[in-house]
Amino acid sequence: MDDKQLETLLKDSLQHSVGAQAHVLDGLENRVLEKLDHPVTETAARPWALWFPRVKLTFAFAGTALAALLIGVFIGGYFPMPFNTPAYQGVTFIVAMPEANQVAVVGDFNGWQPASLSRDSNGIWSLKVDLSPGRYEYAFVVDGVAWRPDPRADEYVKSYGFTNSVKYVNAEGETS
Amino acid sequence: MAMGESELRLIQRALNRDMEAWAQIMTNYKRAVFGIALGILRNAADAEDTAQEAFIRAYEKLHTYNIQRKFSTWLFTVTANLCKNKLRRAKFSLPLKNEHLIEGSEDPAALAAQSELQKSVRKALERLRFDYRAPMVLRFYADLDYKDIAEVLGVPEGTIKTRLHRGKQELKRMLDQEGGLTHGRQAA
Amino acid sequence: MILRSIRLDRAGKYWGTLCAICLAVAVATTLVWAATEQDVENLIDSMSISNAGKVTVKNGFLQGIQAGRLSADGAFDFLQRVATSGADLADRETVLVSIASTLLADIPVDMLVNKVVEGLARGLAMDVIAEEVAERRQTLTEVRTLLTQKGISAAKFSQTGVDAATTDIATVLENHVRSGQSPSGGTLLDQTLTTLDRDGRVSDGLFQSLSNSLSEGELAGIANNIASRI
Repeated sequence: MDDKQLETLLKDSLQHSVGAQAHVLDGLENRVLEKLDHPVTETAARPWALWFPRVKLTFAFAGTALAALLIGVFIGGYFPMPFNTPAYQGVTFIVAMPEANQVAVVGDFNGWQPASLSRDSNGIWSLKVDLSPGRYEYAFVVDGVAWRPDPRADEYVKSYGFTNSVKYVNAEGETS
Repeated sequence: MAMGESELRLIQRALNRDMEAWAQIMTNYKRAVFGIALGILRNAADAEDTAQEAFIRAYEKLHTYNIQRKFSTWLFTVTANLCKNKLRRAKFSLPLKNEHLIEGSEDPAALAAQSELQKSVRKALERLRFDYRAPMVLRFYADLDYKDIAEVLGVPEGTIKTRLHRGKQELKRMLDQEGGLTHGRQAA
Repeated sequence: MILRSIRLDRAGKYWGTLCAICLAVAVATTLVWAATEQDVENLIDSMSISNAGKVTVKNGFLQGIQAGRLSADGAFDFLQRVATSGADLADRETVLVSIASTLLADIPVDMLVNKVVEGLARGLAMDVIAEEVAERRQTLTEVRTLLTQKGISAAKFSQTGVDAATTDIATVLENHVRSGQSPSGGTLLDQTLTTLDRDGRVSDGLFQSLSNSLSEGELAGIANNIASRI
């Protein structure tokens, strides 16, 4: 495919997507004007206050932070990596496999040891992992036996004759 | 391109709190703003939300808009920044869930008319990283030139050219590869 | 017991105690779970490999830990994984010596370690893994030499960045050849820059330097060498 063909396809595809969804714009002007008339202040809702009315904010945050530290240390203990890199933020591995009974992800970030994904009601499996910036090769393991590439991978590479999936994580988190 | 006389007057009226004038500006630009947000954020619910936010933010900051600039570029800058922030905060699972919503709420006739190839391109574009996807949306949907895209995204013009080039390479590669992969399954 | 003695309206005291418990457990866990350099040395000493091999492996891994390329914990886990793999002793030694020598040459070993662990997880034989490691090590060495010639080193940029660049370039070249593409196709530089650009460990400054100094011809040279080896 040459550049011209691709550009035409892109234009058409983008126009089409917008056209198909444009009905959501009906009445947008009124919705905006409504909000400009009645601004909502950001400090309005503090839902946690319902459950912990007497908790001092500082203690609540401190407790959460330390609990997170504890969990982080435990998880770090299960997946020790040889490399001295700081964990960054959650990156999600996600795949649609309604027929599978079990889906796990193996890769550079977890010593190629299966980490199980969770299934939702639509047959979509997902798992959030803390990854520091870098490049990671991985694969999905279906029902404990079948290694599959990720259709949503950033890239594919050959390894030992097999196809691995690749995920890039930049300084702001997952490249998307 | 000099701003139309009528657009200048609309902006002046809006600055004087004439809400009808702002409503007219929204009507003129809502599709473009929504389209940019949809291309970058990849789901209609977020895009509509962002479009609203963009117009609210733009109205509140209208007094900072510099008449020497193109209004559209300024408005698109507001939009692109909101999109970037939303992406940073959004949970990754959101786009995929809404993909199912999108498939259902699209106009069936429009859906049928979309060719397989267009669908593949759209899916490939959705998977592209933000740095490549944003300039492509601004160029191929909003028809901005390199200079304007650079201004909207706040990066040098040379970088925009490189990213557009690389974005196209990536798309071609993804489209090529899609032929060899089926969704979640592989021949044993 | 503790909770009963706290009155409900002293919620602050409750949270404070919880924090103290969390902190204590977290600290204790860290102290108990983390392996030390001594643990790594002891593990290597206990391995059934030649004495010469032990010396190299110890020197290499300890240097790697001290240079910040490995954590003691991670090195320990990796060595243990190899030691308990049930593989032929000679092959195990080959792999470990290979990696240790790479570390001693001040070259990053992420790619090699990942390949070993992946190979073991895929159930491949250690001699196959050893061959893979040896081949990729050669590529890493050539890439590192190239970067040094271009003045790209940890003296000018961060070690993390230069290591990442070394690994990424080697990976792109390896993948290019292994997926059947021709080294003289003229696309290596572009593919390399694309990968480097996506790697969050490569700073803008380092990327610029690489962008300015790498050439298609030089990359093709390394790729041709790979092609002749595999």
